[in-house]
Amino acid sequence: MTNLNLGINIESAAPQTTDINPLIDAVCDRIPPFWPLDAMVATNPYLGYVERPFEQATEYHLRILGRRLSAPRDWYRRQCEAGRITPADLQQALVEMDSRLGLEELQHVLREPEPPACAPLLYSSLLDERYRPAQSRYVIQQISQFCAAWYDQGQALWRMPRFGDGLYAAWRAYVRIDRSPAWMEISDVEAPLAALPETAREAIPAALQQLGVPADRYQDFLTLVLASIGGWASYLRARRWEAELAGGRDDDIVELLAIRLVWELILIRNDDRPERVEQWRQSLCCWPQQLASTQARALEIDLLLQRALEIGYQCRVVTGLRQVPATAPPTGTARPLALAAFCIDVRSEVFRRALETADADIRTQGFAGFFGVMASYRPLGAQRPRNHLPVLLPARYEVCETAGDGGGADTAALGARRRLALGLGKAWKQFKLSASSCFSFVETAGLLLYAPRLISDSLGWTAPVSAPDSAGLSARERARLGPDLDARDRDGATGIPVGDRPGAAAFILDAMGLGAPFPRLVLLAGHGSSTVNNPQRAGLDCGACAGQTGAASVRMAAALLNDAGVRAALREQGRQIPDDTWFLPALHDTTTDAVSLLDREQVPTTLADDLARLERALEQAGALCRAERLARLVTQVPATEAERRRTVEQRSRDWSQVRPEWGLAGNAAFIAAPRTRTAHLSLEGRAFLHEYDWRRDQDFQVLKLIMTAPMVVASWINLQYYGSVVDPEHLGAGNKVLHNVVGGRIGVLEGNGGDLRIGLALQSLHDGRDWVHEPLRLSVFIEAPQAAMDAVLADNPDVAALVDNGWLYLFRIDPEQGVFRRSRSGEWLSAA
Amino acid sequence: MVWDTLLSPGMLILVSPLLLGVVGVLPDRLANDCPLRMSRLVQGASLSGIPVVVILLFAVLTPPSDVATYRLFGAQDGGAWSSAFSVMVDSLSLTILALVALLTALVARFSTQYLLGDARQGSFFRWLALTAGAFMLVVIAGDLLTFALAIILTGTGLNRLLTYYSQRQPARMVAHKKLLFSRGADACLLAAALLLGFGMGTLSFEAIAAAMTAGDVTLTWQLHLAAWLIVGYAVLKTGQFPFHGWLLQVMEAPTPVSALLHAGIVYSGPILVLRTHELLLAEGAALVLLLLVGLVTVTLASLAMLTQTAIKSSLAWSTAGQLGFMLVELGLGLFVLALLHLLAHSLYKAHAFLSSGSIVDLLRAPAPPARHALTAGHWFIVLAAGGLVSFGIAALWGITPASEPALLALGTILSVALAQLLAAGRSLGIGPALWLRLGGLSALVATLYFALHSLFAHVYADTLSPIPATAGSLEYALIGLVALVFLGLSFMQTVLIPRSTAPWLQRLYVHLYNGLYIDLPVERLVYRIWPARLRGSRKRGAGAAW
Repeated sequence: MTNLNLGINIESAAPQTTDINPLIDAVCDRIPPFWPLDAMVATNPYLGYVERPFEQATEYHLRILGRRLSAPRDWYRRQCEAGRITPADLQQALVEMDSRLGLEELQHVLREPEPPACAPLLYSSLLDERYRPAQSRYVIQQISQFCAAWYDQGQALWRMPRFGDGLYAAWRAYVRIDRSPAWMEISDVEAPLAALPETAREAIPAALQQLGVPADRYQDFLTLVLASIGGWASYLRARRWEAELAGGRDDDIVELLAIRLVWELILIRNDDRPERVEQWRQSLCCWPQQLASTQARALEIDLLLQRALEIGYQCRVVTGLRQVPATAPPTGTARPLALAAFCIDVRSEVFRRALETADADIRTQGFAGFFGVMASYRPLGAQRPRNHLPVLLPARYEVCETAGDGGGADTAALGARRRLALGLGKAWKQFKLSASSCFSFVETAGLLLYAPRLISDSLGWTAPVSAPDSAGLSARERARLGPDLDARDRDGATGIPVGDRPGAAAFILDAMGLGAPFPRLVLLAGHGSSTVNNPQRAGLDCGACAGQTGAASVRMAAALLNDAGVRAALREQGRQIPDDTWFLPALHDTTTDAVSLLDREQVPTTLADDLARLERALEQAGALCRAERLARLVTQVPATEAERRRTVEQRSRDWSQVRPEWGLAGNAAFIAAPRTRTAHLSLEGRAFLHEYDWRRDQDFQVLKLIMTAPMVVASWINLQYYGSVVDPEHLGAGNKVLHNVVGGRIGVLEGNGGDLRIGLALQSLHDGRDWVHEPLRLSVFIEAPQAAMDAVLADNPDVAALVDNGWLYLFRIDPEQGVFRRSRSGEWLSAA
Repeated sequence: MVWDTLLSPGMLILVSPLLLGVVGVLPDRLANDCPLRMSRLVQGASLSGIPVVVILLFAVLTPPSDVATYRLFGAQDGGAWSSAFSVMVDSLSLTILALVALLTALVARFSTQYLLGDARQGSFFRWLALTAGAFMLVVIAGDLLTFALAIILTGTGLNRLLTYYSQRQPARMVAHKKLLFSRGADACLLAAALLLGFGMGTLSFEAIAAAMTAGDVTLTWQLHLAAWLIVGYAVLKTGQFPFHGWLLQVMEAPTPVSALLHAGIVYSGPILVLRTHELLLAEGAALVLLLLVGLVTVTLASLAMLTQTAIKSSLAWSTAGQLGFMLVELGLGLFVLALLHLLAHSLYKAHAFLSSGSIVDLLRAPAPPARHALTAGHWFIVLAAGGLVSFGIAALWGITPASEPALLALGTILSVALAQLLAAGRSLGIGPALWLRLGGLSALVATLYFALHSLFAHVYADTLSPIPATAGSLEYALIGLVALVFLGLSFMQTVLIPRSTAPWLQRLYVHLYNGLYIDLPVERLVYRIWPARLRGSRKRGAGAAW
């Protein structure tokens, strides 16, 4: 978990020594990573600030960056009027935060608009005048365009020449050729560039000095500078993250910081009004160290309202958890028909509830959707493997896709056919797009090919491009392919070595808390979405599988656990899996709520009856689930199940659909406890449910795993949604209708240009009338002994920081005594 | 008299534009209350154009009459102004009308879910209806004045669609840039109408064509100037170099608007040229200008397209290039092929814009890597193979340079394209199986190309001037120039760009990637003209979210 050690000291003073590098790295660490579209997983946008209390981070964002971490005042007012925030909630927030304000005062200021945020103190933003194009916008555009060309992943057919060895060197060469500055009244680029060292790390201090930034404000100023190109900075932060995970180093984000900083210098050097420069330098010198009193008061009120909002939700969950289940929980010894394990994703909660309703003999549980398989996965014909596990973890194995013959002749033949088909596709694409052939392409194919395609794509009969998994393969060929633990090839695929398999299997069983009695069928259900024409589709797929569908992971996990050799080795370790127990991989389509069984033909015939009953239950559960979830998506839910199924299927194939499903919108809680604790509750698809029984957890190793991995990931997801709602301009991806995919698969721009957009799109959070996602910090409920939880926190300061700094709320469920909340100071208070 | 006209079957052609017009003038509040119903209305109104086209094809265009102009006002034998306000039913207007009807319906269908939940979705459909209805009038206009008024109305509607997110400063910027060039083009058009009215005594396309074909018109200065103005209009409206800036930035509007613009409204220039081509043929130099402007744009835009890193920017550059190519075809007198290109490109580009989000899925699929770069020698070999296939298959269709001099250019363009296809066999290095398939594909492409070529030449023989069967030395020079440009493009892309690190090429890359900076002075100009309207509004949130 060393990767989580990202916090930096916000208030650290200027460096006394000349070495500015630690300061530069600290500034870069404040930027959250953002993964590209083909592996879009959620990250905490405030990752660089978690070492500080939420309130301090809020103050810093407002004072230095001019950004807010809470919703607009008006929205809170509407929540109060609608009864979502009650006076009791407000009162409790006042008490808890030890505020000097009274309830009536608070209710009164609800009607006041919040004061405008402080304007960020960048020089370029002073230059936006009425009679000429905005130079601040231009600078961002220039950098963004340059970065897009430098990192392009398949859009441009004419790649940018390698102008230099690194980003900064290349940009220096590029901007010397670029004539656009001259048109923006920036006549002299050469002189400022020539006056600076040629490496980024040397140029930064030099530029700061030449700008005249006071030495004690370097860190604030650099933070502001890098945040102004925050989208690309986040992309580079993810590249650095990946490099570090692989044991390497990537310094491009520092080079980006240098580029953006040098732009400020170029603008200042080209300014024809020295008094404006002087004025700016003066305002830098008296840059406030704390907020003005009106701002500070407004901030306090916003924090109170935010807390009151969260109290309201937490009260409901706590009340629910305290209710004693009406029916006795199933006793531990009976062997149920099946156990269905789903990803902890909040969308699974709805399905699990439905499945338990459909057949009371089926138990369900939650686990991270990669099911503990530490592997990357290489589809047939692909050059490189894709990671298939959470981004926090490095892959230990590389597994290939084969036709089930360990990479033999059959696979080779299939691979050759696929390469040929894809090669032909690529040749056709070049024919379509290249400068000299696109005209003939249009005259030949336009009428004959595109008239039918336009119509059939519009009607949802076909998709504009075939799904990546099945491109270049017929349906029958596709069905023959699957992950193969045995396959090794010359390209470095390891498979999972036979010697490692029992250990890998035991890890899965322990982490999932699986033990006797094993049911005959254990369903391992990963999840994926089905949407077309959706650049952010990976964001709807499984985050624990690095933005892929969970199919490959569950198939690998099931193959491991069904392996006779593995079973025998496990038996020697004393883990008795009955011979008639079968692990069955499946994929939950979160868009249509259909669960399809994978590798069904491998199931022993003796289990046919159980399998049929399970399939019936899954079918019924899908129907229940669709009815529940469709109500949130459309205004008029169709009356019959057949119509509802048709509706969701049609939506999943509609190329104009911007809201195929709500994804994880609404997420607000993480509960690690036995299912019996929550089985009687409807958690409205807002809770991550992780199965955990501390009585089976020796040494609390599983508790540690849960609190350091799934809980942290859930908090990342939660804060990504939070950030995209409260600060859509900087932490949201903007309007889908204007999305313009950049770099092939890097990210999206909104409209014509500007910075790379990170986070979630407006349509993923908003239904046009109001936000579908309430911005709430995650409430974590764990059923475990207090001492064990305290011990985990003490051993893992990064996790403790999340709790103690108010980035999430930690609750402890005690079946006898009720629910307790851990306060910032580490006391456990009874949650009323 | 008026009733006679109104009751004639040809007036059916007005059904679709009128219905769309009615939808377009519904009050905003009503529209926004029921956006789904608005969507259905727009789809229904535009699709009504399709049966109309079918009926008219059989009812009106039975030989011997292949064209019919219907005047709304005035006597048949009045002066120039009585020829105004007319619609024209011929194979050209019916074809494009069917295309626009289909596109409008599909764009409306797409926008139903795409913009769902937006408070102003009803308004969007309203303006879509108005824009599309007005553009249908452009397509069926029987005279220059109707054409001019209809295109001005289209521009007004389009402006509202481009500023659908009017709180976005870049969106307002683009709309104003567009306005600048549009108004210039409109001025050209109105001036041309005046000149033709006074110079020829008629505004009717049919009458102009008839008079020019009969050859009993002396080309007065008015007619010369009118021809040049029409060419100027086409150049401005199709976003040709150096007036292309606005065309490239329309992604500030929702995707379906981009689709409608790039697949429909930008063609008003070529449509006007097709309508008045008899006049332009008489003023040959104007056509040469059209060709040269088109050729420059083809070169720059198709190279700039290669450098683009954002999908919609790349598509927009592609539109500029394709329109340039259409102008080249018009300039060479290949009117039927220009029409083929217009239809084909429209369908392709509508699809490309609407499916632009699929690029990520496309690139997520495994892709075979490019293993080898081509040398000049390889390039020459694949080019020769491409040439063999294209000229060979042309000969099988009975098209030879002797019967159709333009084949020298067209054949070269096709050869270059097939060479591109065949080059993949070398660069991917997958083996003979791929070569075989690429060879087969090339032959298929060439066959289809010449099949469509012949089909269009046959079907539109009555409406449009045929492909020239002879050529003078000027024509041969132009044909040679076009062929040379395409050979150069091909060499540059296949051999030079992947292999060379020459400094001039690197500099060229930067300039092309920045669109040759033409847009920046235009932007400054817009700021000078409309400073107050372009101040950035620092509103919170994206769109009207909060």
